Amino acid sequence: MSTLAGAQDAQPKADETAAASGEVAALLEAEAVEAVQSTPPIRFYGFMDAGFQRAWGGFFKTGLSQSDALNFVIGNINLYMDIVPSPHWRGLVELRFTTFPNGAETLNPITGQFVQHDTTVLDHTSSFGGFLNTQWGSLILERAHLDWEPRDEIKARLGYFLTPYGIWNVDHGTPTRIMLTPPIFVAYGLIPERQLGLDLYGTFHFTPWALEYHLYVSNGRTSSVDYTDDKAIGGRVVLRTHRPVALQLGASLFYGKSANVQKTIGMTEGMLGVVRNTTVAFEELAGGADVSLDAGSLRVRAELVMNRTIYEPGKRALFAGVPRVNHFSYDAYLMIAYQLPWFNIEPLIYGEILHIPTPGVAENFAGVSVGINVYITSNVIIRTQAGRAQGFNTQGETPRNNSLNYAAFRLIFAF
Amino acid sequence: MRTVLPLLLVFAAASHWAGAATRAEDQRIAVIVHPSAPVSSLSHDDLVAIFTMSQRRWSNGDPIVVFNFNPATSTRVYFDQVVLGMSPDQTARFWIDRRIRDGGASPHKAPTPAIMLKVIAALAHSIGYVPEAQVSPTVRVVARVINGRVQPEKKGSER
Repeated sequence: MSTLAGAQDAQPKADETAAASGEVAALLEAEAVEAVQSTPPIRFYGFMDAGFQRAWGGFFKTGLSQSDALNFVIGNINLYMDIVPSPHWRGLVELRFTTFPNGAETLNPITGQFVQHDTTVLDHTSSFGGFLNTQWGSLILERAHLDWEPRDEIKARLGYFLTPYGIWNVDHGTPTRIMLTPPIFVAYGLIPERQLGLDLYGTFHFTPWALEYHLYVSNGRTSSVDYTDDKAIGGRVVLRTHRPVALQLGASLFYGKSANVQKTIGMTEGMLGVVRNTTVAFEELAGGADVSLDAGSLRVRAELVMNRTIYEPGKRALFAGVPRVNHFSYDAYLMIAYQLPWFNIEPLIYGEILHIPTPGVAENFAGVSVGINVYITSNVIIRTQAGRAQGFNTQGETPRNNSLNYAAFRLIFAF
Repeated sequence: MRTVLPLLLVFAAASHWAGAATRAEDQRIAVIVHPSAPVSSLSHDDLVAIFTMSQRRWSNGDPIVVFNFNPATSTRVYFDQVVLGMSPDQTARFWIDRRIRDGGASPHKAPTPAIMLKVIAALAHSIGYVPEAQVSPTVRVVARVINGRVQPEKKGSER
């Protein structure tokens, strides 16, 4: 009897408990729904890589490579700050943390002199009060721009951005680039890597095709300070589809006038003042085309970049004391990679040809390389590459010591 | 504790759901939108453009708010395979590449179909997908993934 009464007493309590549990579950689910819907106003992500490398050969003997020894290196430590202050607005800042300039060399192209930097200072914050050496490093601003995104078809970007051209420059980071070693045209800067200015861009969808465009105006090659009102202009169109295979066709254009001005204190118009002297002035037109194809495990990338540079009389840039000549330069490369069915291994082969008049070195360069990528996970990648670049002249004698051999290994994290 | 407990419960529910899911190839998935979305049917190509975040706005200019499941769930794996043509590894690399190239967002993630359904029903301009059996009248179906193919919803058949 007492048991029955106890059971009857317990029933309302069980109902209350069940109801309370239901309320808690509903509350927790509501919180989960809210958490899923929310967008953080700022997100952090990035990538980093480290490894070792060696570069040797004729260019080392002529001093263009800093060391021909095996070197361990920190490649990139890049942090992105992706900011969404409100709908339709977005900012992106990318910083690269480096040990630069410590140990690095600077080449003065006018004098041909190399200068090595040492940032060693005494750390006065140490408990010794300074009796401790430390080396300071630096931050490189990779990009920083503010975007207005009212529609897919029309967006605007103001600030410091990667020049929208080709594949290598847009892929940008070691997790994304299939190769470790940049095409030679990047070293020669046939098109500037970055712009400081305004970029109008957008995408039109004609499924399965999409047409992306960029149209920008900027300070041009001397991005931080422009000495003329002749702004650089450029643009890019990209046509892409995802079927029957992922295919992307791109074309890019850049036009700009650049000048370098040296200022000295002196007499001007009969008064003591600042005298401006334009030392370098040139006009350039550059363009490029690129193809990107992904078909199953096969990845093919090809780029063509051209540059025509005309100097104003008496205002030519110097290279090792020798005035640069007006030139038409071009570079083309083809890269083929194939991911094997075992262990996510992706071998690649790469070939490149560059024509650029470089006094005392060569007017043409050919590069070949092979590499192996291993995708340990989607966020952890090993990339290796080894190759040779060789300079040659089609007319006249080819100077000696104009080759470079290299081999590099990187372990890469994306986070 | 108040913050941690819901996450633990949601994680437990998601784990249970992932483990209890049917074989991927047997799944029938309904692509669902908030009833206010200006669309009644979406093709395979439309879904690729939206779920790769290439197309970010509806035809009327409203932002598309895209929801996905966590990568390990069988429904997500099946959806990515059929709609995007990507394996889980390829999908993960796709989003990393997108981020490194130009920053940008990836889809929001819902831990369970129940929460996906509630979110899509509650949030204007949103799109997601759930197992077909769990579709409720609170959302509109715009396409179905059946037998490894995308079938756009017939016009006028929306709820």
